[in-house]
Amino acid sequence: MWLPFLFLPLLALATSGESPSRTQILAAGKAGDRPLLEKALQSGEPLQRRTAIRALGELPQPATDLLIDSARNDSDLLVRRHAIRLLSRSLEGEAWSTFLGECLGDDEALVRLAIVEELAVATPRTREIHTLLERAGKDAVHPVSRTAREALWPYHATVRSVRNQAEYADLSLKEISRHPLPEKGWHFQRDPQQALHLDECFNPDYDDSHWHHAAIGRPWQADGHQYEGVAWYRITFDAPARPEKAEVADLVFGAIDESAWIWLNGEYLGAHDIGVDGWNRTFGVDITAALQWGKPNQLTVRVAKPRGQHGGIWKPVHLEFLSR
Amino acid sequence: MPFYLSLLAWLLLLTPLKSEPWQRPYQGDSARGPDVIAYWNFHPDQPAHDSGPHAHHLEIRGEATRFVADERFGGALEIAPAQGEGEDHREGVAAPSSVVFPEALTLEMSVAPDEALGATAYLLDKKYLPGSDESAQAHKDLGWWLRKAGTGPFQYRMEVDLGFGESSEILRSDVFTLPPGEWSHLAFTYDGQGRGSFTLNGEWVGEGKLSGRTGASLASGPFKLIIGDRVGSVGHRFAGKIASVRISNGVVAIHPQKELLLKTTGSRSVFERMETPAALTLSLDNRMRRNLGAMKLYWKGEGDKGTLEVPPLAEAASWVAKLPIDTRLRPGSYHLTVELSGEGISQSLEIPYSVQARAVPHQMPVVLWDFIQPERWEEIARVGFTHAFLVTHGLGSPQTLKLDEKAILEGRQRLDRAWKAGLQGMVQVSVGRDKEFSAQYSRIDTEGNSYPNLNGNFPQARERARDLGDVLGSAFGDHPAMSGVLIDTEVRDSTRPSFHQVDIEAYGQPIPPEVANRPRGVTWRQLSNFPKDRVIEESHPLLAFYRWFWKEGDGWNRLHTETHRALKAKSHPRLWSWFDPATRVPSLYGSGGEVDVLGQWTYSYPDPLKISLAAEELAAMAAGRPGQAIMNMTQIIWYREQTAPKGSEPQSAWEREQPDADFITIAPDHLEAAFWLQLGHHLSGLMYHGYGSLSGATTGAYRGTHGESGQRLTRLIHEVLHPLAPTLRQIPEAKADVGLLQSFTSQMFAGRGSYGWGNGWGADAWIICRHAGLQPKIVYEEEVLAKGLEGYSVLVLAHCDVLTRPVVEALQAFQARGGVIIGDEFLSPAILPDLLLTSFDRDPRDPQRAKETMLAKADALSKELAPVYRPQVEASDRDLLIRRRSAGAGEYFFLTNDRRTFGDYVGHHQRVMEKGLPLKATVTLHREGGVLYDLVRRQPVALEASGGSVRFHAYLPGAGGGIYLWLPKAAGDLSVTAPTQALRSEKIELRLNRAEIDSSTVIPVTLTLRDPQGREAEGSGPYGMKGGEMTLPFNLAPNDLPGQWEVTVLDGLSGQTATATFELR
Repeated sequence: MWLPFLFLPLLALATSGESPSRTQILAAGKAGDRPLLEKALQSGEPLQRRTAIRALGELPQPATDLLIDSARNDSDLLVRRHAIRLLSRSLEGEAWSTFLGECLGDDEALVRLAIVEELAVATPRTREIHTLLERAGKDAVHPVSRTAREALWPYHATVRSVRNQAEYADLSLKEISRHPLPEKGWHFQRDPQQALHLDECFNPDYDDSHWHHAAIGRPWQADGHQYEGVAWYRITFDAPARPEKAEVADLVFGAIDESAWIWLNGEYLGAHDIGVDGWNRTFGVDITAALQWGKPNQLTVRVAKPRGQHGGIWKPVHLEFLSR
Repeated sequence: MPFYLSLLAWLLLLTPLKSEPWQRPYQGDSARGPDVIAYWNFHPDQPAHDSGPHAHHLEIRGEATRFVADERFGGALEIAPAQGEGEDHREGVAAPSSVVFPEALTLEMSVAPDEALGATAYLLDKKYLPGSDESAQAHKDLGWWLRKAGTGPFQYRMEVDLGFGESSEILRSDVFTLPPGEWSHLAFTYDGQGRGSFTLNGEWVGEGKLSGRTGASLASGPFKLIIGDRVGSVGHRFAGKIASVRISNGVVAIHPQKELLLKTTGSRSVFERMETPAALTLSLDNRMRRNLGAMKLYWKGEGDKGTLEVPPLAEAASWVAKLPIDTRLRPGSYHLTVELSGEGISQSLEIPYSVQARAVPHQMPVVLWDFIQPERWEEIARVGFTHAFLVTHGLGSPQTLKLDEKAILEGRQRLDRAWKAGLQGMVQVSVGRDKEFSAQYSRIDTEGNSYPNLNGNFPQARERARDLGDVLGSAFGDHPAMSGVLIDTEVRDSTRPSFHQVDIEAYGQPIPPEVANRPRGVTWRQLSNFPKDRVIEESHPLLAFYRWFWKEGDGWNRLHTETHRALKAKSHPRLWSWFDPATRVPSLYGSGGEVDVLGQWTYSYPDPLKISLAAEELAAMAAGRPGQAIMNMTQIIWYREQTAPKGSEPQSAWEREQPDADFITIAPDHLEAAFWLQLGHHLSGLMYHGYGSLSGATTGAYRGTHGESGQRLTRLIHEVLHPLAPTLRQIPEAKADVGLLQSFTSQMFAGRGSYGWGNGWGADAWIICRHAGLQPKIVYEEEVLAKGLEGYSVLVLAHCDVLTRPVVEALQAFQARGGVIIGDEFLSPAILPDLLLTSFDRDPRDPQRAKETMLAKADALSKELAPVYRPQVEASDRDLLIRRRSAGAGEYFFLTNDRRTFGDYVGHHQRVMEKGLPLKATVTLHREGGVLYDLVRRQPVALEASGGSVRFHAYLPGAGGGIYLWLPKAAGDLSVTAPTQALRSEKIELRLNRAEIDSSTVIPVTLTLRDPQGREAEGSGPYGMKGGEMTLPFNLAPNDLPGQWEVTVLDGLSGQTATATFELR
């Protein structure tokens, strides 16, 4: 109701040197007053510019030029993020992906993250977009690279140990027994193309006889694999019969450097993917439903080590049987 | 009749017979008559021989069993105690399975127990299986055993499990003492009409009545009859000697003497002052073995007396009378004297009873969420707890939905005793506790496999939930000391979508297969064609399902409501039902159904502010049901593994003393900080759990590892909470201008939400806001849709990845009118936030870094917000947490010092910063002028005014807090007026007045009413005086002391007192 009363003063303001107030900027968006918004984008106050960039999105005609300029040049990361978000609503095709590729060099990770999010949901997934996602998958900042990798990779769920399940959270679980997995007898295969999953190499029946023999409890470099990237481990182990009081079972990894995806008997159980801090974290996986008690079980672990001296399942793994 | 003849008659009546039949081996017809089913006297010549008419001879079952000679009975059976825990040999002697129990029967045996008699000792068993067993044999024959009871040494009760073919029933005796090494005669009679009776040495020790069992016979089962142990499997042998075991047809008179039993049988002996009607129950059982004519019963109490005509009583008949008592008496202990005369009989009885003072209004329950045994009742009352679980029952257990009369009587008597100790009782009940029932009406997955969680969509489940409430309400609901009923605690953690036909019918359409085993939602990234901006329609099929599932579809909210309604229909109006933990669900209204109170459990580590967040989340949930109150719990226990892992070095003294402790005591500074934080919220009560850790337990799961915590809580309750509680309960929340959206949609589509655990980025964002000086109210999407965002200036969107279109439109409208949105990197691209608050990864092994990060983010956020939003109160130090509530013109500020370091209790393990540090800060109120009062110290506080604001300096010890009241102008003097004269039993009114207080502001006062001897009268205590005036009615008692009475009122603002006197005549 107050917009008409503000409209005339806005015109005057747009031609003066005074920076418009936030209220005036909001009104200008409603009134379609591009000159005032343009002026507001020159404000020294980031909050004013953020309001202005948002108001630009309300103009009847897309202010693509202003948005592109802001996305490229504004000093405030939120203004740049907003500009990219708004441009994603109007730009399309090669021009858009080219523009995003340009912005992918932004210094601020949160801007790059917004770009990756836009790329991840873009349809159709063109070759250019795929390439941009692959590039972003190597981003030094984990949330950015993870988001890009997740867009290229279908397995996302985070692992949960029994102890982290909500229904056990308020109980004192008792360890009945633990059983170490063999440290030798594993099979290992690099996956630089990140494509082995397309062959369903996590399938229990998958033929891994041509893979390298490997051991765990030490990084893969100790076995001569001077390698950064994605690799796979497989082993078939004998699980003990279910102890009388055991109600639930965890598969506990001492540590994997640095990210891991776990399958047991072909069932995907989740990922331990928290970035560089994950290299030395012990984590558990609830395998109660997937474990075949007293029988052979096939375990597959995909490990990603984007960069660094060491990688792999470098600490022991054991089964832990628990009761309430 | 001459006096000496009357005396002689009495002597004859009252002198015990020198020897009762059961005190020596039975002979003649008593041993071999037609009514004897079996009689084993273990005579040394033929110890295994049945001396009765049916030759049910015995055989020894185990190596610890033997026949021995005995001076008194000639021979006896002796069973040695088990040599170790878990020893499970079959002992005792076995008689053939052909023993058949008649419809009415009498069981007898003499026993001389060993000192090592176990907690459960089988006297005789042919039933073997409990009634809960699914076997077809479970309801045949009977078992008779002793079970440890009471609190004294060698105290037991007898229990008999009777199998009627289709079902079983258990009868229990009263508690009695069974001295080791001495012969005692035990007997049980069953009349075939539902009534069972127990005697010890011929004395009646209780009876029970089974409804609906008239004319029902015991079914005959296949097992042998075992004396001295159970038929199989458990090993609850009777350790000691057994002699003279007889099974008879019909009810055999066991009582040693003729008597007229005059006794109180009522379930109440404690009454609330002015309670009406109030009566003691008296019963007269004619055990004289003759019919009695009419008699008179005189009764006399404090200032009251009367006469009752006792009608003629046939032999074995009973008569029950209600004797009214005067509850106008001043609170205290009294007794009623009863005298019975007539028919040559004269008996008297003194019946003690108590009158309890009525509670002053607006008290704050301090609930101990633990089952507490009577010996600790006075102890917990001294700490300041007002409520605890005091009564147990078998409701919801596999056996029965009924409570037997004895259980009800004992429960009510416990409530009486607890009330006298200053406590109110609570009980738990849950329709989900019966695993068999839950399995019968369970959830199922898409394959039809059962999931062990009761499915509330079954009508049978709802009916049972109703029955539970009805039975419990009928048993205890009218008792004034029964205050709280916890319904279905912790049942929703394990709920799951179910695919039974009843679920499909309840939903009204097919259930989406994607939700199978995913009660907490799906991942939007894995859904095809998901909108790029992550904005979905309200009608999205998965969202619609999850909203239905969590609000009504899993059935639990309805089940809570069914139990609640049935319970309340049978209960006094002050009884409250509650459900907890109520926010272990997504952010959607409805948790707990219609219960009166929602509760939540919270651990204070790593940051005590989690306790405040839990209260905020409870308030958000309760907002969906106007009138629903909230009580928030602080866990007294800490998980050892999360605070001081076993084996970690270095170790403090308690770790060396109790290395095996699994749960330890909350650090005293955390307990105190949590206390102050709680008071900042509009709560109806405080709850605590884990008394073992407060009381210094050195065994069990909960250990006392820090002695100061209990002392600290005691001091805080008595010095802070008690005087202020009536004020605190009447101060509403201030109208919120900052909100934090908890998005149900994001929880269901992006795995967000902490489900009441206070973990994760959503919780940390809220904590950061508090350190930034904001007071963010938790906002549900339902509130946004129903009420819009009118009144809010700032809205925080943390973990709001996916939103619905109407919510997005409301948020955009909010921004369009100038509202400020603070968003994180996860926010739906549809919303362009004004400010950015980025998440951080909390390393549980580095709480100091986490706190430093949060304080830095709070500082940055505060600075960024400054141009567009200014909180009404600000602190110069981000560790000083302030919460504001208001009532009329009065504004209440709650301060808590959150400055902490690691300390040396658990802090040396670097998991929890548990030690509070002192803090000095300046608090700025953006008010022009006004006056400020310290409500804890009862004194005004100097304010410094400048630039349109006023300031004061706060000096708080580690974990300390304060409560302040700001008023626009100084409050006038407090005055109290009373009538100059009053009469006993009269109702008078005291009037308190104070000028310059608006109609809504509440001010604490403490009133003391003393009689001429200086004793405090009912009505003394703390009050919250609203609107500057208060009228207090007082019922003077008929036995109050005449003379000059004094009324003193302590002013909670100034510490000054006002007095008035009146003359009682």
